[in-house]
Amino acid sequence: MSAAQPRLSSWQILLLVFTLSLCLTPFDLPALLIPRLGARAAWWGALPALGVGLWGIAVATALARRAHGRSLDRTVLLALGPAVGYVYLAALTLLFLFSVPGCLLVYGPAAHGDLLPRLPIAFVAVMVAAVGTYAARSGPEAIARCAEALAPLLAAGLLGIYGPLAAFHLRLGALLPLRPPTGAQWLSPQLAGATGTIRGFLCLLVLGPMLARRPPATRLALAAVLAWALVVAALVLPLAVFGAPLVTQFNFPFLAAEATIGWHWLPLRSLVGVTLLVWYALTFLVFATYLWMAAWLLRRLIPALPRRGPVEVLGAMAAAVASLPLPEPTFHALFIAWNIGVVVLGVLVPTGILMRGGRTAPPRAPAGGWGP
Amino acid sequence: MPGAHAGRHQSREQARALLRASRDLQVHVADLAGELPFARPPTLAEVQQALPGDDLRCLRVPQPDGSALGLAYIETLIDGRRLWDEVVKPIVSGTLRPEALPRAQPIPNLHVLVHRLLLGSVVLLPPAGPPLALDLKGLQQRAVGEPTTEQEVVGPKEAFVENLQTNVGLIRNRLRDPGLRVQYHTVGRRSRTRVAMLYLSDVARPETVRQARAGLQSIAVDFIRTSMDVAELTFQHSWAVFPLVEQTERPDRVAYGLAQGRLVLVVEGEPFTLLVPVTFFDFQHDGEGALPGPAVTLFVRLLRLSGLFLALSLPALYVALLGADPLFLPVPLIITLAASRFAVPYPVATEAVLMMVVADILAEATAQSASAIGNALSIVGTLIVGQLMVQAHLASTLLMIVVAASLMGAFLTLKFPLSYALRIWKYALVALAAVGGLLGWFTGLLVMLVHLASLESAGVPYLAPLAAARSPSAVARTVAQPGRGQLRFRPAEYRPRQAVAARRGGRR
Repeated sequence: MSAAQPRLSSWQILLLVFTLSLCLTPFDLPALLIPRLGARAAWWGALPALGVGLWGIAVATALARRAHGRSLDRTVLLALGPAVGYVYLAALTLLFLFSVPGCLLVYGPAAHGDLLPRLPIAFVAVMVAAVGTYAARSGPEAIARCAEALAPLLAAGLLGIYGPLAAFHLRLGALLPLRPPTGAQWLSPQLAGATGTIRGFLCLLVLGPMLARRPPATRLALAAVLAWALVVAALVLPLAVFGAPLVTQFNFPFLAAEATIGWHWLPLRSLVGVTLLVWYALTFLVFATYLWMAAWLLRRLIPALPRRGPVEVLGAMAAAVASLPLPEPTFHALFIAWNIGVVVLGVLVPTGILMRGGRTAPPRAPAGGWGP
Repeated sequence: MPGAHAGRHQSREQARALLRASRDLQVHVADLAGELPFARPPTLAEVQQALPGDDLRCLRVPQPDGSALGLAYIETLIDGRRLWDEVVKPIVSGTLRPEALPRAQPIPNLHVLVHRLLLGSVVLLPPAGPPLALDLKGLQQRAVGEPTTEQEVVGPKEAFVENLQTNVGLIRNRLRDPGLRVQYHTVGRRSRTRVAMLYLSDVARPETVRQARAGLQSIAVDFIRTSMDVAELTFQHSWAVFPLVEQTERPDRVAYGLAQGRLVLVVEGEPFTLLVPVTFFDFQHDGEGALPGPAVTLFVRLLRLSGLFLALSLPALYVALLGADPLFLPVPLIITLAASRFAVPYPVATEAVLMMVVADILAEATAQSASAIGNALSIVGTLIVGQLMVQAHLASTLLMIVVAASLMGAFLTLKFPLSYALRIWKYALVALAAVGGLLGWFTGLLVMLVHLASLESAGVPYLAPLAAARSPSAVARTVAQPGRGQLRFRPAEYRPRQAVAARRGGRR
């Protein structure tokens, strides 16, 4: 399966971008920000996140178009030179390596605390890690096909669960007027960290050059922007306009939220299990994608590494790390640092590479065209 | 030096003659390697020495001019009456010379001579000139009959038989297209089984044809027992429990597959042909040719998808919901379910696995037995085992229903290999559900999804068109088949060379 140069379709990459952006976004953005920034003012946090997401998509798409099939590492080394290029690639690898257990760190405790109290966190982490490692071992094509196959389930989950939820919150938002943030709130580290929350462009950086057909940029960028608009409009903003009493309860556990939210004829209790399973599927896809990208970058940095060993080792390490208890403040500090890293390494540096222009100019097209 | 040049020229000519002979006689070129043409006509003694056996007959037939014609054949393979009527009688009476026999082909060397004898030819050894082979194969063959495993209520009633030529003829009879290519290969060093590869040259994907040809040529085993041997050695991943080739005994299905851009392998001595590429959803679309209209087709497909879900998940959900996560069920239902297995003395997972094993043993025994014994086994299984297990409190009534529904769902698809795959995965899901409850069951489904996503059949993703789809209409076609007039395009997942199959509306 894992050929030297995997080939993905635009639709597959779009799904992965969407999945990586969607995973945890509706939960962590209000859950992290609102209790700290103060109730109804926190909805502003979604706007810079959306801006950074769009910027990241545009930069990653332009870079993929300019690279014309050249992998990210070669483009970076060509543009930044060997010394700076390797430093950047090492930092990006570290970012991905941190992302791998990060998915489990968020999902494991939630599932353990709310749905499966009889199961240890380590067990949940090992299950996700095992499936994700198997998928990453099978290659990006297999992950992308899983995303395609799961797309109806994810769509049904989003529409069925978050649709009524969003409608309810919009009604609630009409009752509770929104407030803009104050100056102090703008400068808070939480808000700064949240700008990296919409992060699907990270996979576009690595997977963009693997597109089967070229030039992909225009249509892909448009589709990605539309996907982002859907994410933010349908999920993030309605959830961000929670009233303070509800939001503080929505900051997990689920079962506490379900007692408060819902219509009398459609209680959320019956849908919570489905929500968690949909979220589980999202987590698996995100874990597998990050794991494959981390292993791929690691092999590019250290060519002596075997082709399949790193995936298994990293998967096992991620499960082990996610099984350890992590204090809440440490987790939040790491989360904010990671988000800032996403903005710097995923948006600012690629923008700089683009601005250098000439040294990343596309090579001449081969006689048979680009790809099949 | 002119002599050396002439020698090289002669050896080149010999090599060309060898190649031509291999093509004419449908013998693998590799089988001829190292075999030189006869320096002089072989004798019957040499033939006997090359192929010793009590069923090899070597005769001398006197000719009117006083010379004798040597005849060699394997008596268990040829038609004796035809030998007498078409060869011996005309030659003895002087009305026909051996060289003038219709369909007689010259034999270049001893290797081919032995091969032709084993194929059921009569070898004629004239006093002068090269030996000749005449196909007089006379093995008794089964007549073309009705399908036994792919029966349809409405539709054609003919099925393949064990004869290769008959099977190829049945296909040609349904697909009278000049683009239909038939290529013969011989596989198996000792069985020397002939395999016919069929495809439409202007429709089938060239990569698939190349892959199949290379796969057939790379087979290096002694014996080919069934078509699955050829499938596994050519296309099938050894550890994949899901079938990566489609087996069918229906000529109409094969002809339709060829027209869609697929490739067919017909194996000698086997009434089941192989169709590639195949996707997971092809198995759900069996026997739809005779269904009246898209609405009925949609209904049948939804039934089959439901059966698939039942076959895979019902026992696992029973274990997960009753054993691990009962809080997801309404309280009255929990009480009812708990009461139904109140007297069962072991855990839910043990109970489920025990019943599944018993049910699978019964199903397998029924499938492998003759019809009369199979009916008796069904009665034993249903009335005695099922009823008594419930009465003895070894299993709950609800579990009997769950296992029976699951087994029926597995057999809803007409393809046996797929039902085996579903039954194997069912155990894995139950094991994971017993450990992890609902999350374990869902994890099992995800593992199966990754497994399916990593499989390819002849270069085509196994989950196409749901995954790796080329168009949204292809995805929609997975569930809802459009009307016959709307079937303008060949399935994109097979990547045919010609995408358009019909005019808009299906009419002139």
